[in-house]
Amino acid sequence: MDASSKVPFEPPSVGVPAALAPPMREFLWLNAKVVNGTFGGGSTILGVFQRELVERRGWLTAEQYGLCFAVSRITPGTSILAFCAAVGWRFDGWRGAVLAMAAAAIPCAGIAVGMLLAYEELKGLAWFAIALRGAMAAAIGVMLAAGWSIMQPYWKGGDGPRHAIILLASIVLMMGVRLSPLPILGLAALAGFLLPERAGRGAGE
Amino acid sequence: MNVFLLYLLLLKATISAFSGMTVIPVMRDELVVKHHAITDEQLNTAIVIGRSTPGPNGLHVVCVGFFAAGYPGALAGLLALLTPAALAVPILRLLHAHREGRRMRSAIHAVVVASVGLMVATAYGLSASALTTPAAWGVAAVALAVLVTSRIDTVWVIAAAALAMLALSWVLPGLPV
Repeated sequence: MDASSKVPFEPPSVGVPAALAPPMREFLWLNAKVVNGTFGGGSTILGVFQRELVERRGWLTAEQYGLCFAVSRITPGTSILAFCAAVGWRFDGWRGAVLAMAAAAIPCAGIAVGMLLAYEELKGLAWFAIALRGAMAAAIGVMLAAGWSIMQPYWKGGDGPRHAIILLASIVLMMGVRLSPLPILGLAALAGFLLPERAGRGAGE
Repeated sequence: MNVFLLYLLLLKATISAFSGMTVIPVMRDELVVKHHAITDEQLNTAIVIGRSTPGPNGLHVVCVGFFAAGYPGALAGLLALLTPAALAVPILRLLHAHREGRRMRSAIHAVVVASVGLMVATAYGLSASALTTPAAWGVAAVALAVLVTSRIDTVWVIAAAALAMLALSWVLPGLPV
């Protein structure tokens, strides 16, 4: 994954050499299968993609994969969908990007709604309510663990203290000052832009 | 709730976040605190279901949309999830123009770190409805420890937490769970 930070941000040429270009149907099927069949979220899915797209099928070079990976990390929203859009675009322009996102998101969104419907049916049952309380308690742990995981690259290097200050400031601004999230993110972006990191690269990409 | 407004509010959350879980602070601020479209309990349920479903981390946005406005809301959530991803293509071009942009990279890092701060603050807010008993606190603490120290998939941790709470209620019937 670290390879992404070494890949220059060159614009991709739309499409890949004809000999390597996958049939779109095959790519979309792989896309749907990998994203909708993998638990564990973005990092796990991107690992599976690396194996399938680069190592097994050779549809992307390691550099192309690294570029799409880097872009997915800095695109707002869900990184795995941005990755699918970037890869789909490489293969078939905007059509490929839209189809790749749809193949990735629609089936699992349907599964999520199905689970919600089951939840609505079951929530009146005492045993289910107890189990759900356990799951909800775990969800708090899940959020904090996700934060812990995201922060890991940011503690390292000379910019660790700077990132700790930004982290604490954002907590204080939300819990103490009760500022809305968006202004806090805006302030963070402004601070980052006006006071650039010494290392300036690496974390989170 | 008006579905287009819901889409815009969910889009505001997804477009200002850089990972699936960091959309939650903005969603809670808009839909729980300001618009009262969903409750904290529903938001927490959405997180549980979103994390228990295969696929991207952001599926709780679809669940939140469903809680706020049924099937049209779920569709609004799906579109709010997909819209920012389409930005990946212009970002490829923008990055080329600013590929030496230390300030831009630094700004993105600061936003990601601040997002984590918002997640911590939001987890604290959600704990008021989710962690109402010592047993729930215990389950949350164990889940956090397991997730931080191992590579076990989230879905198994959530399932184990649900089973643990059931087991506690059967083994110790007097214990508030």
